[in-house]
Amino acid sequence: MKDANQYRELTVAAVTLGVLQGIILNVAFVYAALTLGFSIGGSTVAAIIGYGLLRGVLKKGTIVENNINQTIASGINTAGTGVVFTLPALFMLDAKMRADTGVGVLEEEGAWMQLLSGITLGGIAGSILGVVLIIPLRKQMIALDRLQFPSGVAVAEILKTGGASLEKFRLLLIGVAVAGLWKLILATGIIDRPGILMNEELNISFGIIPDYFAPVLYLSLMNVAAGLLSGKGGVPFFIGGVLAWWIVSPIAVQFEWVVPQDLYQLASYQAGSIADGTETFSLLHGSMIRPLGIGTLVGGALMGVLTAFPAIRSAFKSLASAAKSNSVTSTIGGDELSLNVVIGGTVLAVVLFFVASYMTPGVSFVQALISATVGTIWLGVAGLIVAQSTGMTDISPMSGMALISVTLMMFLLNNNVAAAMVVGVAVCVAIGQGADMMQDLKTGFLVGARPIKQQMIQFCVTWIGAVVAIAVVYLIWSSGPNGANGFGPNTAFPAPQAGALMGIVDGVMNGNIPVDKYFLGGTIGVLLGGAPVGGLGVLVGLAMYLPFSITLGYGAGCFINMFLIRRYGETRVMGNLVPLAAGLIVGEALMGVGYTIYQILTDSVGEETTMLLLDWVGGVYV
Amino acid sequence: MFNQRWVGIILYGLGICIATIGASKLPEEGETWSEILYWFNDGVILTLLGLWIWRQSDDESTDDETKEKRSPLDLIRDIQPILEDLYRNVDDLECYQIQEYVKILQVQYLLKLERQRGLIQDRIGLEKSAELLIAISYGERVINRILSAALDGHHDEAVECTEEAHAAFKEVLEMFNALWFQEVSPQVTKV
Repeated sequence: MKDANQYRELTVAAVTLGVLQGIILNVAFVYAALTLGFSIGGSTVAAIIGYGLLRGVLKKGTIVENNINQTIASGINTAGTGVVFTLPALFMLDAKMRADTGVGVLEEEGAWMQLLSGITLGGIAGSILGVVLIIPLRKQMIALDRLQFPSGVAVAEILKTGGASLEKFRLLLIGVAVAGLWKLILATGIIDRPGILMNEELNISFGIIPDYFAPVLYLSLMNVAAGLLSGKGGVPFFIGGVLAWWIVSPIAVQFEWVVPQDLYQLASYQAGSIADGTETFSLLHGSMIRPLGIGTLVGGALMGVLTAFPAIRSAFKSLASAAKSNSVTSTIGGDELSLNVVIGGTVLAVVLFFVASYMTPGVSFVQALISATVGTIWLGVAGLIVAQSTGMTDISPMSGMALISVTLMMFLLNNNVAAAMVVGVAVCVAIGQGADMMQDLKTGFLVGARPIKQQMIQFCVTWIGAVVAIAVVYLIWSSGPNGANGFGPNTAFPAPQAGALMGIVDGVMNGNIPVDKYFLGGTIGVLLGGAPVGGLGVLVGLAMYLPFSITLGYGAGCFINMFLIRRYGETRVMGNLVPLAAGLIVGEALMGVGYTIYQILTDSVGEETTMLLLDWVGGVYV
Repeated sequence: MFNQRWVGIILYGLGICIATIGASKLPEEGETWSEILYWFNDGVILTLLGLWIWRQSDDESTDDETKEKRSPLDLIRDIQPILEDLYRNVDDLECYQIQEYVKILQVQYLLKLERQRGLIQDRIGLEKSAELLIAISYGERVINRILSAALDGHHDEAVECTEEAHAAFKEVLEMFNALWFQEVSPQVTKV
């Protein structure tokens, strides 16, 4: 694409490598998610492989060229995450309904291919919308709000490694080594002690703290590193956890709003108390705090849009005027896709969305129209929530957004599970894509890549991930006896995330939706979003949505950052802390991927471990 | 002023706590809302009152941004000579020397400007400050690209980007001059 003297950026080598890596990572992580229940972002792996191949083998790779490779690879890979959290639930629900009542999600067997085509179209629509959504949001989140995007920062450090100063390189390597080794020790379980340290979590009840204070610490260095990079800005996340677990939870127990049998399961160091989660925790988190947190997330994000509306309008104006002013009177502008592409892409995606819904058996024209319109609007909100959450904490509340999407659509489409799942897949793919794209754009900003090139290429290849992931899920499902039941309980692929979603869909069909929690949580989110503190509603909501063990570790990182800055000054601290924290994130991610592959190859993962990992994984999609 | 602000924050925090506690109780079987919904309502009222007092009070911010003695405008003015110097000499500089320039720009100016974006927003409003911050961000990205090019040993790209960054920050200064003083003039007239 370029002559030899030009600075290599969007090249055939980068695109080819990115697509290949993306497909391989997609297949591997779909497989892993069905087996273990979680998936991992592929940016770090792609950046390192890209570094080796583009620079090492081809001997001409540049930092921004590798950024293109890593953008494509992680985009294709991430689409798989959206699919694997939702689509398997549809297959499993169908099998369950057939076993229970003799009638599945679709009455006619032959309608499945039609439904799958619709889901594939929905996935492609979601991929496009995810990319489109991020174009105007880039200015808001990266240029104006300056969100941290810890993984994005880490990948930028990786990309710059080769030419960086020796001191920074050394710090990065120290981080990689320490976190990698620590992750290996934890993952292999060699220091596990039942009731005290299990499955990467430490019981900090000290024998006296009752379960309702959630005295458990997630020992992930990646989690602490995200806090280290966020510093003061991440403190509201910790405060949200304190509100949920040190204020609301004890009061709920004292007033006997929940009546667990044993309040001191952790303090008595019973074997399995961490691994299984205590009864108190399940009651408080599952039925009260988590649904309230989901509502708060949504309300906080909506209020955030309202309060930042003048700035968002300005960002849109800037997109619209960029094409006119560019290169005539102004240097600034013209560095990203124009507003016309945003509009065109949105229209295309909405049409695909509509066709996908309309193709679903049992959906009328009007319902398809509602589904496409409401789905797109909700997708915008969900995308914003996930991008903000990722930007501020590195954690993506994808399953919570999937839950609301499916609930909302089942309500609008008369409990049509198949149609709701079409939208669910589309929304999950879109929000995953959006969050990943935002991380990549942050990386791009830090290495000086031209966002227009990242957006353009992502726009062209984004559909691949959804198609590959849907095909893999279908293949694995068909590999079971009589061409079905290839995953689910009692198989080699327990698909725990999908199992959880299936349970929720089942609940919705039986009218069991915590409407009060969503609504009241939404109001609290609006009130938090109205405060003159950026992202307060989203951060507090996210802290309530997640287990407190993650919030504690992240909070520790924030406080360490603040302490060090106070003591040694910001310039000195951040100069050293950024490469070290980036190393910690990269080290844990790499070891996590490596160990996951090892586990799959040796098939040593039991269902018990899987269920645990589902609930307690940080820095990835939960 | 200090007290009023803190009174607002405390009432706001207390209101949020009460509202969250009130919202957390599960409703009885067959009911949509729990019987302590009034806790939630009271909490909301308290939160709104606190928020109103908080927002009414003059925000005498004690954030990091005020620790920097130079105003955002000063920083933008001060960055010009460094960029000018780099721009004039970049052809003769080695890549490692260019890297040193960029690190000075990043640490001594751009990082501080980032910390002061709240001041810019307070002074000229969200919408206009957005134009300015987007422009600064554009220039910053180009400066980051100079560093990448220099790290890659691609001197030509570093030179080209230096020209772009130089022009971009000149434009930022013009925007700053126009917006900064335009917004402050009514207050000056009042005095």
